Amino acid sequence: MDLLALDEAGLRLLVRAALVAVLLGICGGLLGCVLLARRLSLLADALAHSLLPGIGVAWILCGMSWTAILLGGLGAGLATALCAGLLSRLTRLAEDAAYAGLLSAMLAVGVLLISWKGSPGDLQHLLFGQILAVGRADLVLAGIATLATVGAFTIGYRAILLECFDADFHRACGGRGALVHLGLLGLVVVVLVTALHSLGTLLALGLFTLPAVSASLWCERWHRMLVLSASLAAAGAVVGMGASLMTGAPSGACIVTCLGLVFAGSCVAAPNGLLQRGRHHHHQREDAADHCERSV
Amino acid sequence: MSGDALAWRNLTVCYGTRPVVHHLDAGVPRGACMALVGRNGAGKSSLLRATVGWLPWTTGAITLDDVPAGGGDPRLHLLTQHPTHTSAVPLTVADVVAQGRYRLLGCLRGFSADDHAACTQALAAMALTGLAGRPFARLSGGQQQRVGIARALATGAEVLLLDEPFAGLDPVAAADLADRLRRWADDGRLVVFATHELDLVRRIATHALLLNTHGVACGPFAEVFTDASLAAAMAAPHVAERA
Repeated sequence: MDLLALDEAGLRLLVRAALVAVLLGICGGLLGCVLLARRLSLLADALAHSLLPGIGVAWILCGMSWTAILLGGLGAGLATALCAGLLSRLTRLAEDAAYAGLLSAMLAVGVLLISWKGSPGDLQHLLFGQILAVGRADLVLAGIATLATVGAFTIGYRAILLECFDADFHRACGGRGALVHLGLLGLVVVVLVTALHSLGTLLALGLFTLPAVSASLWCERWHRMLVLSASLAAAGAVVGMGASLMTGAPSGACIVTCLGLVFAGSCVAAPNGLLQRGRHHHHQREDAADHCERSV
Repeated sequence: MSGDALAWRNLTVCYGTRPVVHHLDAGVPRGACMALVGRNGAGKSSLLRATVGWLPWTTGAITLDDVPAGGGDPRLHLLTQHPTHTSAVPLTVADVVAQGRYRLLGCLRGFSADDHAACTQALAAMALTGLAGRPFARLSGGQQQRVGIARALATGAEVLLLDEPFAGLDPVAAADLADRLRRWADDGRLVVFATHELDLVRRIATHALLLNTHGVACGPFAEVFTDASLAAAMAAPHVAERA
């Protein structure tokens, strides 16, 4: 796409799409750190799949109304989070097992519902998104989701940190772990639903997992990890969207591929990555050999 | 018992209909270092958990300085047997100890000079000053245990309850930790620890509560920690119906 040939409306659309991508990146980057810390990275995956039946029902009832689709997705996501929480507390199932069970069933039902009423192209749009199709309502929704997420991380920073790092200590301090947990899951659902139009349900997951795991390889302090993760996600969203505009490739896939490249680079070059660890082990082996020689 | 700071009065704690602590009457004064001794399943962990309000009790009461305790009472702090912290959150030792002040500070209030001083003292009390800037995840199990206790000290709690604090420590580290607990009690606070390490109990305990679902004996260490009471505490389970 020739950016110079864009008219004012086209540029406005571009700026709006970039803003949505950055806002979603900030939310995903922050929430991804929490999911990583609680070893629930796959939970976002399950929640994303669980949106589909709600979307399908909304589509069948109201047609291609984005408001109905967003509400349907939100309802299904929150219901899944609640069901998984209840199943893990009232049965022998662990929470991840409850999500694993719900994931498969919800995805299958969602695909059936959407295929029944829509075309394969519609399904592809929902799964992989179309960031240049975002409207003003998407920007407003992304703004609200970002305000809620950043607000929660500012006001609840200490509670979130304690719940992520040591749930028993949080409890010993009078903290309400279940409230924090459900609040964070609620935010994950809201951000996933917000990303539905721009990135699609499946690719939005990349915003949660990839920046957080990349940042964890670079940082030794939690607050730095949060800032780096959100920054990586926002930067990746802008660069990926640019790549999408240049190549015409699906925007969600471009954004997540960019973040994937950052992850690959971090795995190799970060302080906790392959090169540094390899160098560290090499030094350790040399030190051990020197020690043995001196002993002899 | 008069003079008891922490007291359990006719306390019964049940899992379902099975009592795990049965009509316990016991107490301990401030400044004591009390060992909680009994076989596996004697109710030690349940008693500690009930004391901080994590388990409901069926009968009786728990009081601290004659005021009902439990339900997230900030005067008491429990360190559980199996630490639940994760290495997936990158933090330094100083960061972890600073968490001890979060409850006092609430959501947004910043650290004052007193808060910093409390953290510095807690680090020093557990000989962690030199490790303050080290990543917590890279410490040994014994060092992480000491950081957990330093964090508990930083909370300013008057009563420290520890469930199997010496589990997994080598003998030198366990003896060092035991001596530090005793010094903390000698400073006028109250330490209650559940353990199977009887040598360490003999080394530091000023008081003992021998438990076998019901209370076998409770009081000053020399008076109650006898072969007869120890045998009764370690005997086969005392079967009881629900109170």
